[in-house]
This record gives sequence, structure tokens and C-alpha cells, in this order.
Amino acid sequence: MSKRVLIVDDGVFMRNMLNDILSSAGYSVVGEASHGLEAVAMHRSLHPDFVTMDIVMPHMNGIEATREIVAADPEALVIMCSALGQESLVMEAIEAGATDFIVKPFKSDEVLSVVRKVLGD
Amino acid sequence: MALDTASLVPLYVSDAREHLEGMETAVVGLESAGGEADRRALLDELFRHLHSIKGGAAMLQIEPVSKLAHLGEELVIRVIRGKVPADAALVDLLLATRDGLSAMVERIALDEPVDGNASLLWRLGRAVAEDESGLLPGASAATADLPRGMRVTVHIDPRSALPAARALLSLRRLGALGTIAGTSPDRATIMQGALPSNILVVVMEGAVDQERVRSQLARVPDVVRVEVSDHETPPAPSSGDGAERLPTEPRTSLVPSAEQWVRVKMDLLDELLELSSELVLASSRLRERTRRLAVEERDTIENEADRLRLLVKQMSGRVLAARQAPVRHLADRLPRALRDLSRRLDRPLTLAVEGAETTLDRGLLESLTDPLLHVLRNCADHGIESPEERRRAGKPVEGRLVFAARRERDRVEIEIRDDGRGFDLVRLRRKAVEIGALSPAEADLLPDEGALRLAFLPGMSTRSTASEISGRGVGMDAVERAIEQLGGTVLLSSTPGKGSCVRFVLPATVSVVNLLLVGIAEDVYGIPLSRVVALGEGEPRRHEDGTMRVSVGGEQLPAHPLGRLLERPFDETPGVRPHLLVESAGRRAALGVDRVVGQEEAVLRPLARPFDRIRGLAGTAILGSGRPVVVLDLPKLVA
Repeated sequence: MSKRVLIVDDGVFMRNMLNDILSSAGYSVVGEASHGLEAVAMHRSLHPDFVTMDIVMPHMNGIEATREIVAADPEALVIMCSALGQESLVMEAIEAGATDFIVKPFKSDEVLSVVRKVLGD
Repeated sequence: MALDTASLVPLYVSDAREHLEGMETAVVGLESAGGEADRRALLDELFRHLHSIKGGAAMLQIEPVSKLAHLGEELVIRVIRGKVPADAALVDLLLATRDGLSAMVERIALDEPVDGNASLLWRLGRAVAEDESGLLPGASAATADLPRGMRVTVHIDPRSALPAARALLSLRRLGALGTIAGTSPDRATIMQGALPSNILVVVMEGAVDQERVRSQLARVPDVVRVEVSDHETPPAPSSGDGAERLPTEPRTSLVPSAEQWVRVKMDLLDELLELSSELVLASSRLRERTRRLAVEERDTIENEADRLRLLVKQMSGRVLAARQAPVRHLADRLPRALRDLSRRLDRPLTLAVEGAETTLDRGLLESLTDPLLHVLRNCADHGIESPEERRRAGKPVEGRLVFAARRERDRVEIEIRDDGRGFDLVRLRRKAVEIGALSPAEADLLPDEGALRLAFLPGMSTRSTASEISGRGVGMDAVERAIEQLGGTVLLSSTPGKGSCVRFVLPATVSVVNLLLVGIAEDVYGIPLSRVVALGEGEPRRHEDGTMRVSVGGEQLPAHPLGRLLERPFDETPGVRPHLLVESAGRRAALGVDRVVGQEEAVLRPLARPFDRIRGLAGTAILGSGRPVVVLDLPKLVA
């Protein structure tokens, strides 16, 4: 059975990109959220196997959302998507419980290799 | 008289953000600066930016920012005086300083406490210190004070995007296996983004199963080597006490260039735009009325009405112009991205920027960043050949990328060109057949322009094995969808062996509207939220006066099914359904729909003639899902 993923990003382009990359690789995209509040709610109701999480978003940012998701589900696997120049935010996210990260602009190979490592394949 | 600092914060933040943007460009430019004069100009500019950031922070009494900016200034002075070389290590440190300041500014923007950045201050302190001890803390000093115990040395790939972050991940995984007795560099240093020589050394207390260590670290990307051993060597005396040394020399004073700029909130611009649209309509209506007047009265009033209309149109043009911003904001992000790509791909690259002052609508700028960076990455990765291939082909070793923007009447064209190998049409055709999009015969018959467009097919090389990439077009369909959503198109062109070009053609002016999406039978319509006074649920009932009314927002209002107004089929079964409360010419009505689908921001695309004459249609929009919807002008419909 294919692993299920929740995509979180406030930009449509990024959501589409990640959807394309992950679906083509055989993962099942079970939901897309555009900010942290949606992400937390959708994680709770959908129980994905892993999450891709943008950092800077309105209403609730990715770091806060990660913190809440991990608090509710300590086994949650969250991969942060960061832009250039946001290293300190990535560190904060890791301390908040993020499992790993990718930096934009990324190639599908990079995304998939991080996802595979995170899932332990 | 006390200074009202709270009200100054938003202004300081937006000011600081601009300076940080300018800083980034100047720092990256430093590495590729032509001669002494160019370098000096960039250093002066860097100083100005840091100085402004520092000044504002000092006034607002935000010490961590002024402290960090101050050391940044000192470093720049050192470079100007020739005491510190302007090499890659310096650029890295200046970028880290910029990033550190940026993180602080963003916290100020969120009204959160700002932490100091001790590690960054220490690195800067060492760089400006009199003894010129160099910019990179040496690895030997780092492992000085580690206790005895099982020692795990983790080597992170130097091409990794964020080596320190991967070190932190490794540290956390090891921490889950046992107690950590010590690390080098220390955790605080790692947290600030520093990982000398890309090596992390962790000493574990007691014995930990080597297999578990290796299997845990195997799950961290970019870990290229892991060594596990018992720590035998005794601790060496530590070198360097990490204390800051602030120089006391007088600063050079520089006069910032004067530019006439005024900062205006985006909301205000949007309001102005709406008002000017209303004014244009009102003046048109006035002109029409004058036509119906008796001839004697007509002339004088007609002249005045014409003059009014002309003035309003001019004003409207000005307001539209205010929404324009130079594409420079977009272009400024590219040099740093390119530098990073060059490092990650291990390939020399240069970027030229043309037409940075070309203006386009502000609403587009932010949405263009990610697609543009993606295209840049594609060109750098798939387009530009390896240095050996380029040498053989007689090309300069550095891959040449160009960002060009130009304005053509009612559209803006933005393109990324490269001088690489061009699109591989053979592979594109082959891949299209592979994914089942074309039969082999169709692929053969396809002309070259058509073959180029294959890059846009979903599934083209977003699926890829490590070595088999389809030549180009990773995620191009996502790029195309994003650009179409903004009302534009993407054009590809290529010359095999010479290079290729990805061009975004965008409308010059754009209005983004917040849409309420409603469903009527099979159709979905968009309604600008600004036109909806309230939303409620109710069942229309026949009133004493014979009209259908429904209770929405506490009022009994005339109820009309929106479907009937649009002369489209709708669900006529009685019952409770969503109603939109709208207002037109002072009167209110409730429009019933079958369902509320959701809410979305989208680019409103005006209708071309003759469709723009249809009453009640504001235009069309493409939703994030790719679905096109008709956008309604409710007040017109209800009037």
C-alpha cells in the first residue's frame, strides 16, 4: 500500500510541484493545506504517513504547526520546505520536532531521497 | 517628549527588509566584482545598509540587532582597508550576518523577543580582531575539550544545502540512542549555522551499539561518512576564549543617496484602484446623461463632462501605475540562489540581469518567485553542461544564465536563458512515448515546436531515476499552471547545443480578488467577497405582499435564486439553502445558491470584447485547482 502524504504550503505552485513529484513517485497525496491551522487539523483527521511543511505561512507558520502536530503525535514525520537564507528557521523547526528538510529550489531527486530516508526505506 | 517607538516599528521593519535585500545583492556581487572600483562601490553600499539597520535598531533600543549590525560594519571597514580579503569565506560570513539580521527583523515584525546570536558575534569578532586570525574557526580548536568515551565522527557532504542543520539532525538521532557527553562544535554553535569543515564529533557516554549508530545516521540525508572509535587522545588545552573584541577606530561616515520614495500600504492602493474604477464609471454615466439633454444646455455641460472624464482617466492611469513595482525585487533574489546552486551542483555559473527596472504589477511579484527559482534550477542543472563538456564544445567553462525582463505595451515578458545544451528533443519524444502520452508514430511526426511543449506534460521527468532525467522540463507543468493562474503563458524555445529560453508572458496589470465560490447545479461561480455583505442559511417563504423573503443576518430580505438571475438551471426543491446578502443602490437582497464551495484568492481576468458587455459578469479567474470560473458582478445583476 502506498505511503500517504499531506502537503502544506501557502503557494499554489509549490503545492502543485510537490504533488506532481510525490504522486509520480507512487506516494498518495491525501490532502493539501495552505497554512498551519489547516495543517494541524488535517493531520489529525487524515493521519498521513508523512508531511511536507512550508515554513513561512499566514495564520500559523510551519514551525508552530510542526510543534503541535508532534505534540499530538510524537511519531509524526514532518519534512520542512525552506527557502534560501532561512537556516535559523530550519534549526528552530528541527528543535520543534521536524524530522528533516529540503531547500528550495529543489529537484525531484532530492525530495524523493529525503522522503525515502525519512520513511526508512 | 517620549518617542512613540511602537508606531515606528512597522516602518523600521519594512525599511530593514529593503536594506537586507540590498545587502544580499551587494554581498553576492562582491564575489564576482570586476575591479577595485566595483568592489569598493559594493562595500560602500554594504556599509550603508548595515548602518541604516543599526541606526534604526539603536533608536528603537533593539540591542541584538544594533550589536550584530555594528560588527558587520566593522568587518566591512576591514575589507575596505585591505585587512580582510574579499573571498568566498568572507561572502559566506556576510551572508550569515545578513541572514542573522533578517531572522531578528522578522521576530521584531511579529512582536516577539529578539535573541542575540552569540556564535555569529563571535565569528565576526574574530574576523575584525587585530591579529587577523582568519574567518573560519579551525577544526583543531574545536575538538579540544571533548571528554573520553565512544567517539562518533560524522562527515556531512560539503555540497549539502545546510550542513549545520544536518549536523543537528544527526545529533538528535544520536541523543535518542544514549547520553551525549560532549560535541564539537558545541550545540549552540551548530544552532547558529556553523559547522567547521563540515564535521561533527559526538562523544557518547558509555558504550552504544555501533550498528544502531550507523543505521540511525543512515537515515540522515547528506551524511557521507561515519567513523566510530574509542576516544583515546587526551584533551588538548583549549585555544581561544571566544570573547568579542570590538575595535575602537573611528568609522568612515558615508552620505546615503537621496531618493524620493514614499511608503504606502497595499490596502490603500487597492482602495484607490477601486475608487478610481467607480469614478470612471460615474463619469461615463454622466456623459451619457448629458447626451439626452436639450441642445441648449448640452454644449456647456458636455464640455465639462468630457473634461471630467479625461481627468478621471488620467488619475486612473496613475493609480494603476502605483501598483507597479520594478522586477528588480524578483531579480535580486537570483544571484544568491545561483551561488547556492553553483555550490550544490559543483558547477561554475554566472548570471546576467537585463531590464531590472521593468515594472510589473505588485500582485505578481510574490507568486513569480518560486516558479522562477525553479526554472533557474532547471537551466543550471539540466541545461548547462559539465565543465569538460563545455570545454570540448568550445564554450566558456562558466555556464551563462541570463534573466531578462521587458515591457511590451500591455504585457511583461520575463525570461531565463542559458547557453547550455538546449532541450533534448529526442529524449523528450522518447519519454512521452514511455509515459504513454504519445504513440511512437505520433512522436515521430511531431514537429520540433510541438516536441518542446512535451515538457509541459504532467509526469514528464518529475518521475526520474538517478541518471535517467528526460533532458529537461522537471515540473514544467506546475510552472505553466502557476503562470496561467496569474493570467499569463509560458513559451519555450531552444537551439540544440547552443542553449534554451523559458519565457513568461504576463499581463501588465493584474487585480487579485478574494472570491467566494458558490455552486449552482453543476456550475461554480466566483463572487468577490467585497461585494457580499453577509452569508447565511435560510428557507425563503412567501410574504404577505406576495414576494419571497428569507431571513439573513437578522433581516427579512427579498430572496432570489441566483440561478434564476443567471438564467441557468438550479435546484428548485424547497428547503434551507445558503443565501448571500448583497447591496445595490441602497437596497439589499438575498441571493440563494445550491451550495457554498469555498473561498479563494485569484487573479481576475477581464473579459475581451464583446463579452465585456454582458451584464453581471466581472470577468473570469482560474482557481488553484486549475478550474476556470466565471466571476459575477452581483450589484449589476441585482440592480
